[in-house]
Amino acid sequence: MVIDQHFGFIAFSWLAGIIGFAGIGLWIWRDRKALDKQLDKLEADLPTDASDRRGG
Amino acid sequence: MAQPFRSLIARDVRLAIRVGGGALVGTLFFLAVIVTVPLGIGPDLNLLSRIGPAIMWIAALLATLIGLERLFQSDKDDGALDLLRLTDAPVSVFVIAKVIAHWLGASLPLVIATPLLSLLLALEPRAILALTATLAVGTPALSFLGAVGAALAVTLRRGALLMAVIILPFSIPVLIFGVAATRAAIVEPDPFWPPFALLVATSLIYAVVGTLGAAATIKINDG
Amino acid sequence: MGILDYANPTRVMRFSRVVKPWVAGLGAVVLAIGLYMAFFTAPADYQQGETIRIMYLHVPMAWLGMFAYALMALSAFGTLVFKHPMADVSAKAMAPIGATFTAICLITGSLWGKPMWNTWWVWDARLTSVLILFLVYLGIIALWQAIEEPIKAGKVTAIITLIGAINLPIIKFSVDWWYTLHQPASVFRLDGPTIYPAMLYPLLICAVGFSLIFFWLHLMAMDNELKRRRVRALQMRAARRAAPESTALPAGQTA
Repeated sequence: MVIDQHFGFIAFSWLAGIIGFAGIGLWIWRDRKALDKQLDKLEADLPTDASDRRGG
Repeated sequence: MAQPFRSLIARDVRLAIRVGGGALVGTLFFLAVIVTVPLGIGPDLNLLSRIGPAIMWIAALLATLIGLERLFQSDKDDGALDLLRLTDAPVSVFVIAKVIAHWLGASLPLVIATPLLSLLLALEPRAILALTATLAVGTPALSFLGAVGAALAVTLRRGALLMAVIILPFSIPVLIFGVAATRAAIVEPDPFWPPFALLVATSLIYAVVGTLGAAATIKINDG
Repeated sequence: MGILDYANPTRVMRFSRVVKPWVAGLGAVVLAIGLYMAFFTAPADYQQGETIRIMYLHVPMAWLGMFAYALMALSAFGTLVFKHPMADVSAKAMAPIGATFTAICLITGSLWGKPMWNTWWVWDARLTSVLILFLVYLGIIALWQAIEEPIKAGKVTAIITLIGAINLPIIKFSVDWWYTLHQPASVFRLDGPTIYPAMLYPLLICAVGFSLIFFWLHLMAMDNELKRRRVRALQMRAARRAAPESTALPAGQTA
């Protein structure tokens, strides 16, 4: 590949792609971390007996 | 079924055109936009007559969409929607009746007012004719589209602004075809019939899709 | 058998856990190969010069943006017609990813348009319909956020998704039906691709690589959505435990 006068456009395009992928990936990742934290806390609080089940 | 259909339309039209009924709000908004835009742009009549059709189409679009959100609100409030969901009555027919009534009460006055208001924007007679024709044919598309938004507004608990945001992208083709057809009457080489035909097609498609979509949305329970 | 097996969240998450690393790994490898070819073995274009390198990102993003919407519409159909329990999970997970790809397509398209057409944007049929696709994506995402109850959210967004699906054939055929500044189809044509093979193969390899990455992102997003629903269910159970009198149903009724 040759560096010509349109190099800036090419570079910014691929940068946009990288930012886009990184952005959505990061968002999914952070969501996952937060949900795992919530799940750990909620599942630790679950009672060991079935007192909160109501047959449904 | 024809008699309840007709009486529903008649009742809704009568309710809407009473003062406070909301039908003429759209037309007043239409008037307001067409009066204020020339004041903003300045007195250049040439410019006004060139962008006039676009201004009027945009004004018609906004005016129609504003009025449509409350399409089903009164029926939700007095329990008619719940009754409808409980019975076997076809919700699509109800939707069509409401949309026709709304069009008659809200969009038709707008279309009738168009020739007069076009004079404020210095449009030529051919442009006025094309504009009125495209509005007459295109506003049904907006009405049926708005029915989906109205059904959403009534089924969801919040976010009426959200409904406008969701419906707006689908109104873009209607706007594009409407303005293209009108512009063809002004700019000589542009063909009129292709965009006009597309506008008619869009209205027909939206009539079907809008009715089905609105009916399906209303039938979702726990409104 | 088959698709109904995946009506079970546990099964979906197990499938996801097994498949994810392979998809991610394979995607990374394929994409690396594709990118290498795109930049180093593929020739510069006769007319466009090096700017053609943007194509290897812009075109796969356009394809995936539309493909994601098509899958969303398929899931919407599954929700409304077959009432498949995992269909709306799939649809909800798809929306932000598809929206991102469409956004990248629009941005890279604009950056490609400036040197080639000397304009950042033009309101031709292709660009306008892709912009509408992006706006519909945003509307669907907003709808998902606005409705608290997952089943109802699934149904409402399914209806809007299916309405918006009309846009897909319009995007595809826009360059055929109207005079557009955007170039006509050069890959998916009845007469076969018109693009030079030395460019076609890197393009297809990049597309496959990006698709695998998309699949990986979708699996992760579906896992998140399933976890989110479990969190909600556990929170509701915790609330019932905390105040059983206030949330209990009258005697004889179940939830």
